[in-house]
Amino acid sequence: MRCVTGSTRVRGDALLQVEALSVALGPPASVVHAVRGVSFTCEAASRLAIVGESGAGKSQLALAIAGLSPTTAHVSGRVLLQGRDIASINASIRREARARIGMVFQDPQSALTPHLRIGTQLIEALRVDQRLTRSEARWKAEQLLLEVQIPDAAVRMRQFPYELSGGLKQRVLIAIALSRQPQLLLLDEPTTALDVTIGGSLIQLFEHLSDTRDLALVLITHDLKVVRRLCTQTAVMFAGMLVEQGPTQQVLDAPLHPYTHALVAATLSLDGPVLAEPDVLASDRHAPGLGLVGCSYRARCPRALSVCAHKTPAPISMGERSVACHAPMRVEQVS
Amino acid sequence: MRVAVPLSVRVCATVLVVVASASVVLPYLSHWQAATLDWDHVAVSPSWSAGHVFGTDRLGRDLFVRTLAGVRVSLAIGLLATLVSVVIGVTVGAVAGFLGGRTDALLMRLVDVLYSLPYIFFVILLTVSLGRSPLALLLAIAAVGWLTMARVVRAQTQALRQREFVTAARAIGVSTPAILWRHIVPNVAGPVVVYATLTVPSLILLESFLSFLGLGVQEPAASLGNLMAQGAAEMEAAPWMLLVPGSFLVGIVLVIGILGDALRDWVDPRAR
Repeated sequence: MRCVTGSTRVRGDALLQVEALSVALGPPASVVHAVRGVSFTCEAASRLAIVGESGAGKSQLALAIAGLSPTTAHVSGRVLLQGRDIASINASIRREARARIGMVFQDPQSALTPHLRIGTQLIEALRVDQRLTRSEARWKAEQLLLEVQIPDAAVRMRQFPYELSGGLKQRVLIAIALSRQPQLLLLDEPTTALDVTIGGSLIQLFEHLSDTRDLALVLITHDLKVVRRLCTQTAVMFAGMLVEQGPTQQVLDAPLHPYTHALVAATLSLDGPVLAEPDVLASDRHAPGLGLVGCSYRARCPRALSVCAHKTPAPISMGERSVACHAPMRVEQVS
Repeated sequence: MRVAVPLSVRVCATVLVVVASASVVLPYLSHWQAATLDWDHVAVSPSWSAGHVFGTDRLGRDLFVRTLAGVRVSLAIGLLATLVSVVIGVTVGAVAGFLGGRTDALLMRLVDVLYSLPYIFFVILLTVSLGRSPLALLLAIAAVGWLTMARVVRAQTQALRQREFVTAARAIGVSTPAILWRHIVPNVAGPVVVYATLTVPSLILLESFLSFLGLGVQEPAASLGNLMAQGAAEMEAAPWMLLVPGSFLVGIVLVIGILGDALRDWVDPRAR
């Protein structure tokens, strides 16, 4: 019941296996390597967080896992859901695999079709691959709305998206994501566009759904507080690569990668010290696509060695964790 | 959901319905036929006493009946040609814009080729091969009318394709035709309605232009176009021959424009 991270682990019957997944976007002349060789494994009913700054490739990773990369993107590597390839040539295997993944998007304002009633959209989702009559689908749709804790489900069914608040829209989107009984919910910054109290109640809902439905969660977020509360496992993404993976508590309390350290140090807390070194994260963004050789964090890394410039660090396993760095921090405490 | 219908829309819809049904019904009820000649009243100005409310033309044909017959022909050709061009244009534009790639390139080059054909040449070709019938005229007008519509819809679809709700629909496994039909096409309805209301009058004008050239509706049948062409020739001596069909054309164009505007507000749920 937990995420095993690291590319070298056994394949077994893990719920989600991502193997050397890469996504390249844009025309060949100015290609952007949004995701570069990401591998991880996620067990059933586990909760994994993927954190990292804007432009790190988190959303492209999520889209690629769901098989929704833009048609112009070049995707390589494999995504297996219970051993079924989501990019399989066999359409029924592909559909079966994708049906097991539900996706919740960042902006609930734009993820619902504006001219269709809430009920219509839910029923459409329910009837995509389940043989249901209209009244059965309507009944199920109301049950789903109740499950995501929307009161007056019958009234909401008849409303249009613009009549709902942002938090309610996000709940409707969660209900739609649940309509095909997924085993994995991909949450792409689900609370970013909402205010903090609404976001907090959604996190509670995710926790509840994960427990009651045995759902695995992959949460993409900036918010380390949410990560600590919700996720048992954390993967840190930088410039398209997973630089550190492991149990949340270990990763956030004792970072191994200098980037994770900077990320954690950048979080303000009410009772903690005032930010000591704010310039580490504020410095120039990395330019994805440039410098494919060597560690992409080296320009901002206070610990950079000469080896970092010409050799891309491979993930090293350290106990339950793995880190891709030539000069990891606190090696002595871990090993 | 009940929506209050503005007064302007009710008035315009009433006017359009009254004129359209009058143009269908009245010519049959009238004492005069569109082609009967009244030798006692040649080129008389509008008068009740002579029995010609809108006067007669230089052959003594009743202008009231001829104008209504012309309204019928012009409206029918304008609306049908618009309908045909909307259907073809939306289909081609949405498919090209959504699928992109090779399909898009192929369909849009077809549009470019048809654009670059001089449409008068195209119309002459069609009317020669199909005969000078209103049907040939309709086909010819529709064949050029859908091109701009396809481009408008394609551009809209390309913008919509990027929107998150399309990705969300794909995420729950909705098929491509269903996404196009249920999620994309209703969202382009606003621009399509607005553009179609611009198309109706312009196609009515195109029809009258072609009729004027002798390629469209032929004498003794009437359309607003050939009536106005005849009227223009007699403008100084008999201004009513131009003014009567002219004001019908202006009125119809205006009424359709106001209706289109209201329809756009109704199609867009946020404007409610």
